[in-house]
Amino acid sequence: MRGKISGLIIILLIAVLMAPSLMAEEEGISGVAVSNGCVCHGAASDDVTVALTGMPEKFEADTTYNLTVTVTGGPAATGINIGGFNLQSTTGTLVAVNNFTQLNDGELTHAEIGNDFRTWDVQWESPDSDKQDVTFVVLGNSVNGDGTFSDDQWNSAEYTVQGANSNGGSVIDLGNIAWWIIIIAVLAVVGGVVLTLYMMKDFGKDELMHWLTTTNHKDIGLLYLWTTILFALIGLALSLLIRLQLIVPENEFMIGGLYNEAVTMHGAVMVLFAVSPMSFAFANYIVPLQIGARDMAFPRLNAFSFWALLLGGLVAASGFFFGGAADAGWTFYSPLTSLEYSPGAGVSLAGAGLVLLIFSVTGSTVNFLVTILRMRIPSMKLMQMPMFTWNILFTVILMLAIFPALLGAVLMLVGDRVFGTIFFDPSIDGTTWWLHIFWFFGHPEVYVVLLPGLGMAMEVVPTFVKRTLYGRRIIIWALVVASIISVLVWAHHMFITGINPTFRKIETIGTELVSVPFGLIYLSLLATFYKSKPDFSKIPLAFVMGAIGIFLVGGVTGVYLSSVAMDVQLRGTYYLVAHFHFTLGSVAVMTLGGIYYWYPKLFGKMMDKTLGWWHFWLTFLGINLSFIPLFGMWDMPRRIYSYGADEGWATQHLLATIGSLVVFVGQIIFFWNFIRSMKNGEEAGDDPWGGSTFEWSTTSPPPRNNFDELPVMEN
Amino acid sequence: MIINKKQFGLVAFSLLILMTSYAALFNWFNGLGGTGSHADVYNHLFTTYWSLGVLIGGGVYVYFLWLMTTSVEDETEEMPKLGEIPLERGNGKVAMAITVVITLFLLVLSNVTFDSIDFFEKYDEHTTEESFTVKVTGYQYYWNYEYPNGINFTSASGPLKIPVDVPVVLEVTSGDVFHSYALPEHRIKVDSIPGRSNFGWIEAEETGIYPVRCFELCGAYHSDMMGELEVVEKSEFDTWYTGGGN
Repeated sequence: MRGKISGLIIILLIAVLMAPSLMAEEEGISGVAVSNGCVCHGAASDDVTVALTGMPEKFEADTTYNLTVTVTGGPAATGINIGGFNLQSTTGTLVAVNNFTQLNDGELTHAEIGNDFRTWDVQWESPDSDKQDVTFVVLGNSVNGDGTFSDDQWNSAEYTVQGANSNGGSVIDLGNIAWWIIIIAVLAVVGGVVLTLYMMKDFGKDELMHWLTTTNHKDIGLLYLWTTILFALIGLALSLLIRLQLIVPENEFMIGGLYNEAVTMHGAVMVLFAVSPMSFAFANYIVPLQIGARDMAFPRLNAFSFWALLLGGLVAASGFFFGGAADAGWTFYSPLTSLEYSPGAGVSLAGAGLVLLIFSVTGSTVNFLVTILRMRIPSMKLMQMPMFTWNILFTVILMLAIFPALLGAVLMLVGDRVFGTIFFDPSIDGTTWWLHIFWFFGHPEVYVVLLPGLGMAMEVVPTFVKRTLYGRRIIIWALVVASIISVLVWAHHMFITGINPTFRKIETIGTELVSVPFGLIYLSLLATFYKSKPDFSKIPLAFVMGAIGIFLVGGVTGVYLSSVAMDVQLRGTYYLVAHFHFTLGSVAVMTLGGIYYWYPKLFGKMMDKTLGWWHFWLTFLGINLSFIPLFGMWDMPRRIYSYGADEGWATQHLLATIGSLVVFVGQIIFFWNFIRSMKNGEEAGDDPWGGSTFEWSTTSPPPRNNFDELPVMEN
Repeated sequence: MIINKKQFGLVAFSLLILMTSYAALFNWFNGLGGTGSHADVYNHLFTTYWSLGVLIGGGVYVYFLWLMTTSVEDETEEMPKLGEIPLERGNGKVAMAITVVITLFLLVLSNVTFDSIDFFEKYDEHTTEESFTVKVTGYQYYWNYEYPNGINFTSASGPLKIPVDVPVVLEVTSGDVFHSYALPEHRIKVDSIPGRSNFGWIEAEETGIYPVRCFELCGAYHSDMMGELEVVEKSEFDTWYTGGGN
């Protein structure tokens, strides 16, 4: 069975990696290699050689170049009608220099009297920017001249010329400091993992096989944790690159397509592969412990979910090494994702990575639903489940509802790119079709990210203020309402795309109503502090309090965005960027609190307190410094890589960049603390915090079967 | 590191209120301003949201500070114990009351929102016989303008020219990818989507030159997709317009 699963994964991986290569065929795998643009006749043949000569090594802007098209080989010339050609360029202008050639819809081809030759002189005027590359596609027809097409042959060729100041497409350019930062970050993470494994025990072949083949939920939880920390560091490194580009006006550190790649992959990696699965590291580890189960319901499926997630993330990010990652924004708005506007492999690779992620998520969903609903100890009723488990239950139900939509969207997108389907053809309104289907997934996805974080906060707060959570029942019902509303309000992401005005008003009200259940949850969480005995010297509580503060600002600014009229101005600006970084940032901070809270259970050691406080203050202050200034820039478009010095945005961006550097330093301290404490931390004991849920009733770390004797709920 | 509990609570939440007000003030200084008929409506809308946002945010903050002052020294019966069935605390009536209050706030907000969006989008209620429609088509990375009399040029060759105090309708579409046509100073933004026409309108109140920008990621040189809007006196515009754009 294990062999079959690994075989399946390998086949899947190969298929995924093959997919983008198919895209090189402009008409998909069924078509001819290149469209027969010159009405070439006869058969495509390698006997014919088409050449374009006279091109410079690198072209300058606004310059005219004399080029020559030559066709050789093929049938012997027996008459006067002996050849033809067609020349296209991706940028710049082609010019017919004599009456042997003519322009046809921007493409250059031979004229009626020009078909008596097999060589032609043409001109190409370069565009006004040399920060890009140009690709020429030339087709040549070798004609025998006897008036019949019988043994005529044709062929095509493609040439790419770099602009003088081009960054070389997006192929790795080691002259660019950005790549060094990425490489160093990856090396640091890999080194960190190896170092940790080395410190944990003598890491030999047996241990390696153990980690590769484990199906124990605790091992898989740890694998999730390492993987998502790795992805989070990649996402963080990308955000630093973005911030470094924006630190001063008119910076030229990382511009054009490369900047878009960083923005896209920062968003995709952080939302889909880092923050959300990081809470699933704890779901895997903690949920079976909290409900008194000995493992997940389907341990092998659980292992599959993890490996699919890891492969998915690596495939999605691998675009950086195959000519450029996805560059159309993490929302992949059509038609920018079509082959025409994004010809690289990046978008297809990201699509393939997303498909693997969806496999992973679907497996997890089934697994957690069955585990939570069927594998609790008999004395634990549904309403008595710990709040973290409740939140994971809502999360997986939401995932089950929305990820099929993403699967459909991604398969259609990849179909368009690889097989030449036309689901997202703009002329049949494919642009809004993508928006609808993507945001049907994309909006609830925000709650999928948020709910586990809230669950962690609901575990941490009662433990450290020494009171039971206020309004458990109210919170649970509020979560039901919030989940239902969340799948109904996707259209607030497309308020000014011209959708039906009445529908839009309903969506406005629906979106505003989201603040009712979340307001109740938030106030209940606060009310737990009433007449309590809070212990502020504990780091998990500090993180959760910080997150509560950040979330208040994120929540209030979110109400502004729910208004269709406010959205006209705020849509697509840095105000929006600040808002969602405040909400998602608070989730990340809650998750960090969760790591500090459960670390003793995971490794049997306490994390170092001094480093922990440094980490907390640097993270909390850094996030505020990064994103508060951005609220003011509601006239600056997001995702632009350059801005003028006179536009009044320089101070804010400088502050934001300093803030993100502060956050980065904080996370490095955290990573060091995380690794160091595994060996050097104080012994934790079974229940260092005085927690009340069942994970604290077993040893730290728990035995392989979790409990020597299953716990029982008491009155 | 020794931290007094109460001090920590106060510092953390003073930071919170600081950042809330800071965020709001940033908007206040930077944002309110603008020009044209839309800006007045928009600024009224923003002020409403801002006031209610500060009221709610500040209220929650004060509530939390008060909760801090109720903290007790001893541990009570309510302390959660390992393996115990969790206590149910909470008051359904309070929850209902909070729901009603939030919903009332939202009703006020929805009302002013719907008035504003109707003003922004029902362009035919504002046009006069002097009004005309400019067709704006987005391309990577410029805008093409087409006037009713056939004047046709791109944002690379000149600014969009409109007369002052005359409502002008903008019919926005795209020739390639998803763009968003925006006049930030006038608080106007219309999505430019291939295969669709979206409408907006502008009534400029002051002459001058204003920025035009694209607000949707549209490719590698999205940042360079900038243009200008030139608002001129009616007589000057007429000369330009009847002269075929020269």
